[in-house]
Formats: sequence, C-alpha cells, structure tokens
Amino acid sequence: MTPESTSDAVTPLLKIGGFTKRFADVVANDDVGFDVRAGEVHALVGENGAGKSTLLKMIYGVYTPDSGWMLVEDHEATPGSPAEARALGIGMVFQDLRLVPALTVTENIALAMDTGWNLKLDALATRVSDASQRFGLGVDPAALVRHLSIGERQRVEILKVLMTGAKLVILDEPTSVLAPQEVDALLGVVRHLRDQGLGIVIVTHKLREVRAIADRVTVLRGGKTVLVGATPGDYTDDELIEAMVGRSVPPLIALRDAVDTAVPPALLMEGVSANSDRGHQALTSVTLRVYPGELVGVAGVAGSGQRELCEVAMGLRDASAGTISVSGSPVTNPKTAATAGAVCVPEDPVADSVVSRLSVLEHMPLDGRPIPASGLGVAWALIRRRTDEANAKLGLRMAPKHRKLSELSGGNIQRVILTRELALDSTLVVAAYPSRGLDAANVRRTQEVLLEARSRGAGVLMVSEDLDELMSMADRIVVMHDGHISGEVPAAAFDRQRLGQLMVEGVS
Amino acid sequence: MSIIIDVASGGVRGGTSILYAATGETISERAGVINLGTEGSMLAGALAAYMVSSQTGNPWLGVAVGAFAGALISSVHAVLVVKRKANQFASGLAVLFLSLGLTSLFGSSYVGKTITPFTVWDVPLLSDIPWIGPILFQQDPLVYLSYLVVPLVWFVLFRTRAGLLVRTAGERSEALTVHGFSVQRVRMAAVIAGGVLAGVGGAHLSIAYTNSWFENMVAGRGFIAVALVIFASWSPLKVFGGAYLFGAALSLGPALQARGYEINQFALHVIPFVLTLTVLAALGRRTISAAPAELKRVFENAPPDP
Repeated sequence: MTPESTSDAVTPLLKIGGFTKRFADVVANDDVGFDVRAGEVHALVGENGAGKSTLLKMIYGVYTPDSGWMLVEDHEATPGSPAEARALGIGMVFQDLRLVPALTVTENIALAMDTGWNLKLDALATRVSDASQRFGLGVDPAALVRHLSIGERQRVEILKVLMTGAKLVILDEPTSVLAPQEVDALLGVVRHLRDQGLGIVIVTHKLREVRAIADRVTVLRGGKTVLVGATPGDYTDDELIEAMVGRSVPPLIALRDAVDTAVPPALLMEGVSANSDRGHQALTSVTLRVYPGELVGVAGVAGSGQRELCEVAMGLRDASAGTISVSGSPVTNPKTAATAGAVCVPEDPVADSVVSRLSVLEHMPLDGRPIPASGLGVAWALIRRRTDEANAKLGLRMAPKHRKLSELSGGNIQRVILTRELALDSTLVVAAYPSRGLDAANVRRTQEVLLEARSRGAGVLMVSEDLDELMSMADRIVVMHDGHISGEVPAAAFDRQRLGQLMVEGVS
Repeated sequence: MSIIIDVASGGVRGGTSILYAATGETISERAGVINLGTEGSMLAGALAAYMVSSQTGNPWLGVAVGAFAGALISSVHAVLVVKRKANQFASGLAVLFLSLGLTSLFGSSYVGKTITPFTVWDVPLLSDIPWIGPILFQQDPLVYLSYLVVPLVWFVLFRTRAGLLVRTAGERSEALTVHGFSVQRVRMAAVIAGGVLAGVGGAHLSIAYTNSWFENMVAGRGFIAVALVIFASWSPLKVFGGAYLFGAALSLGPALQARGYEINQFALHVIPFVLTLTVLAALGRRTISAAPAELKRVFENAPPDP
C-alpha cells in the first residue's frame, strides 16, 4: 500500500495507515490507521489486549511494523528506535514514570536533552521555568523529584517531552495513577497544550475522560480499528462502549435494598491498628462494619492502608490493637476467617495466592478450606467437577484446567482466583481491586458476581481505585487516608468532589 | 601552641592519601558500585610509584604509573561486578587480596631502596600566613594537587553531563537505559576513575609521605576511605574533613613522642581507627539517607524508591 496524497486543508502531524504487527500466531495490529492533527486531542480507546500498546510502540519506534506506512507532517518516516521517534518530534509519557527521584527537576530534564559536557544548570533552570509557565505546568525546576506527587511527576515528564522538541505528545493511560482532583488538573494541562497547537494522543479506557477532553476518538478492538477519528459527540455512551466491547452492555443496576443492621455484621472491626511489612503503623484504630447483604466500597489513594485492611480482615496480618470478627466469630488467623465463611481476592494475586508451577486445577482446592480427601489421597474427581461447576456459575471463562499458572497472563490469573473464591458459599467477600487486569466484558461480569454475592446475603468489602465503579456498586463508601478512615459516604450522597477530597486531604 | 600546628599540618599530610582514595570511592559509589578493593588499588599505586621513581628519579612519572596501576586493579573489580554481576563485597575483597599478594611478590626487592621523593615546597606568600600557612601551604606537590582535584571531582559530579550520568547510574539506572545510555559503560568508567584516584593516594603514601615501601604499607587506609565516603554523605567536599581528622589522629602520637611523652606503640596504631569508628557510629544513622538508591539495593537487596 502506498501513502495517499493528503489533499485535506490541514496537513496532519501524524498519519499512519495499514499498520500490521504479528507476534508468533497472534495478530496484535491488523491494518490499523488513524491521523492526529496539530491542536487536537485524539483519544485512543479500547479494552486490554485491543492492541493499543502495540500501536503506540510502533509509533514510538520500539517495535517495527510488519507492514504499513507512517507520515510525519507529510514526510514518509517510520522510526526505528525511540531516539529516532524523538528526533521526528514524537514524545511519549509512559505510565511508569521514568524520573530519577534523587535528582532535581532540572537535572532530570537535562538527562533527556542535548546539553553538551557542561550542564549550565542555572541557564537550564531558567528555560525549564519559562517552558513550565508557557505550557501552564506549574513545575518548580529546583524541586527534588522525590518530593513531588505522582501528578506533579507526570507534569515533569510532559515538560521533559516538550522541551526535547515534541510536537506530538502521546500520553499512555495517564489518569490511571491519579486521584480525581489530579485527573482534572491533568485534563486542564492537556487542554492548554492543545491550545498551544500541539497534537495530543491520550490513551484511556474511561468514557468520562473521552467526553471531557477528546476532539476525536479512535477505537481499537481485537487489533482492528472499529471507529477512526470519530467525533465523540456523535455517539452515545452505549454506542462507544459497544464499539469497545463488541456487544452492547446494559447499564449495571445495583439494587440497594435496605440493610438489616440488627443481625451480627458479616465483618466487624473495632479499633484495629496494624503495622506494615516495613514495621510502620499502616492502620490506626479503624472501626468498620459490613452487614450481610451490604456492599461497602473502600476508596483511597494507593498505599493508604487498603492492603493491610484486607489482610487484617482475613487474619493474614496480626492486628496490634482492636478486635476483628466475621459473622460473630473472632478472627485471629486465616483459618478462623475461612471457617467463619470469609473469602478473599487479594490485591496482588500473583504474589499472594499463586503457586506458579501448579496448574489451574491444582489451585482450586487451595482456598483455605479442608482439601477434599478420597481415602488418603486427594479427591481430584470431585475437585474437577466442582471446578467445572464454578466455571459455569461464574462465567469468567477460566483458562483450561491443565495450564500452569506460570504460563498465564495477569488477567487470566485474576480470573482463576476470582472463580475459585467467588464460587464458594461465603458470608464475607473481601475483594481488593477485583477487576484489575481484566477486559471490559470480564470487568462487568465480575461486578455482577459481586452484586450477586451481596444479593444472596453476603457482606462485601470491595477496594477499588475506580471511583465510578465504587459509586455504581456500593451501598456505602468508606475513604481511607494515611491508615485511618477519613470519611464515610452513603449511596445517596455520592459525590466525586467530596470523595476525592477525603482521599487526598483526609477531610471534606 | 606549636603542637597544634604540628598535628594539623601532619593531619593534612597524613590524610591526603585517604582523601584521594575516598574521593575516588565517592565517584564509584555515586555510580552504584561499592569497591572494597580500594585498599588494593592504593597498594598497587604505592608500589608502582615507588618502583618508577626509584628507577627514573622522576616522582611525577611515578605518580602517573601509580594512577595507572590503581586503575588496572579497579578494572578487575569493575569487570567482575559490572559485566559478570559478581557480589560487590566478595569481588572487592578478592581484588584486595590479589593486589596484596602481587605487591608483596614484586615489591620485596624494593624494600629499603632509596628514591627521589616529592619534597615539601612552600607556596610563596601563602605559606607566610600565620597558622594557615604552615598547615596548608608548607606541603608537598601532591597535597596541592588534591586541593584542585577534589573540588574538580565535585564539579564534574554535580555540574557536568558525565557526572549526571554517573549519579543517574547510582540512583535509578533504568532512567539511563531509557535515554539510550549504557549503564555498564558508565559504571565501568566510574569504578576505574575511582581506581585512578586511589592509585594516586597510594603514590602519595610511598613517595611523598613515608618515602619507603614495605609489604601491606597501606594498612587499612583504603577501608577507612570507604568508610569516610559514608561519613561524608557521598560528597567529595565533605571528604576533606574526615580525611584530615584521620590524618591528625595519625600524627598526634609522633607529635607527642617528639615532646618526650611515652606512648604505647600499639595504642598509637589503634587510635586513628577508634576515632574514625566513633565518628562513624555517631553520624552513621544520619547520613545513610543520602545513600545512592542503587547502593541501597546492593546492601539491602531492595528495589529503589518508586
């Protein structure tokens, strides 16, 4: 295929066509094409595994496409390395920020620039400060990066990319690491950059952000483009979701029945304190009740004590003060929690509940309950039957039973753990980031399963970093800040702004 | 009052070999490599400088060859640690014993030889300043050279591109890779540069300070230098104080003896180490937070700060 001559009034900053990339027998990108103009925000959306990162890596010169063409300001150019891409004016802000915490902002930027042997830091700091002002980034050149918040670090990365001469800025899921207030600030920055005439590609899977910021949207599904350069305003939410997922998803309906508080709570924590692995106090006198038939959401900036909260509730971590009980029975270790009917989807299943050399089937009995025995051996036939039943009941399409966990991707491992834990008849479900690593269809199914558990009378404690998810599902959201519960908001009073403030500042 | 001046000026003279070595070790540790073989580089530098200046009568040529010998020894450590990913502590100690063996073997015939050493040269005008003159400016040329080299190392580390690369290698090596630099090359260069300075430090010991060569003459100064880097919280400028303090402790005994005090010979040898340990114990906790993140990884096997 050859480049078509562009007769449009505006020459796009970047135009690609026919991009195809295969890995072994998987086609990651199949005849993908889109274009980005100067002065526009182009959203690139799609589920996990839709081929977004492969596409970005080809544009940024990390991968070479098997076929296809790429025009940068109407000149044929396919970068062979990130350095070549940068020379073409393409800049990328990665999800895992690549700054050196012990160095200042100026020094970090110097690292990316062609400075000559003498850094001339004072002159460079002035340029950093000027550029920061011009692009509205509010970056202090003298600050040490380790003292900056994630949002500020992101702005330093953006500034770095701009100062090395980028005209096209690619932001790879920039909002996934931010608190709500920081998301708004970032979207403001992106708008400002657009108004300065830069081309912006923003990768996201959140519709709200597409609506808030994107001039045009390109949707990828299964390695192919479903929508190319469409105007978001022309489509309804359902149409965009359908484009991403491939079938229309009815809105999630969480029935919020009145909760009976006369019965013993499914989970009762009173004045619980606990230390982190490093020995710092991670939980400070937390009091929390989850009643049967209630779904309580836990919001908070990552690392505010959510991990310790879940572990203490499951008896996996000793409390230094306070008491914990599940359905009225005191919890002191994992066994008492399991006997009382608690199940758990941990924050990091790969580290916490996977034996990588065992198969999917061999993982199924490792749920903390007694392993079904047949004489002196293990009742594999029974386990096999239960596994099939669990798989059918949950509908999360688990990987085949004989596969070793070491061969599975993060999302597949998550589905194995979800199926094992949520198929059990439990009184308490503790789920930390249950939809992490899953694609949209499985996220939805997982949410439905959790709501089903709630409807049949289990108490559900759910930690999530996605406020939209919590607000659509929870009866109540408690917000964690620095190891304690900074606030509790009932469903009727859900408000992003207020929740965000509780998350970031600890007060509303 | 002359005893104070004697001890202080002796401190500068006696501390200079450690000052060079600790400055070199600062470069290496800033890049994320701890080099216990510093002692070995000093030994090699001391012997090579002694050999060359006894053969040629030119102490400057001796220093140059001493620097080269120090670099050679440290390059063994660099290859083992950077290329072969060997344990840094084991490799450093192995390199030290290698150097100790080699210098004992090749140096035995030089014990007691006469050489043309560096001599004290008073800096015009400056040496006449009361107190400061006799302490700082009635010294040998290698001491004066250190007044230039140490600030220069500071400038290179903190104001030049090369230094930025070294510090990035020590703080978050992934960031170097992202920008297309080789972490291995930067670390190799830093460790070898450290060896050069340790070699010069050794040379000062044999052809400017003691004017002699004997087996294991460095006697732990290399380890003191490694410890001083921590005491100086990885800053070349702060190394001055620590090195001169150790040197002063060394020269205290002879200064007292010269005035007729009887001091136990063994106590004399032990005082500098006890003093250094005391200072380190007092300051250790406070300075460790300044440690390069990749160095903490070496100690704790822990990932760097997010």
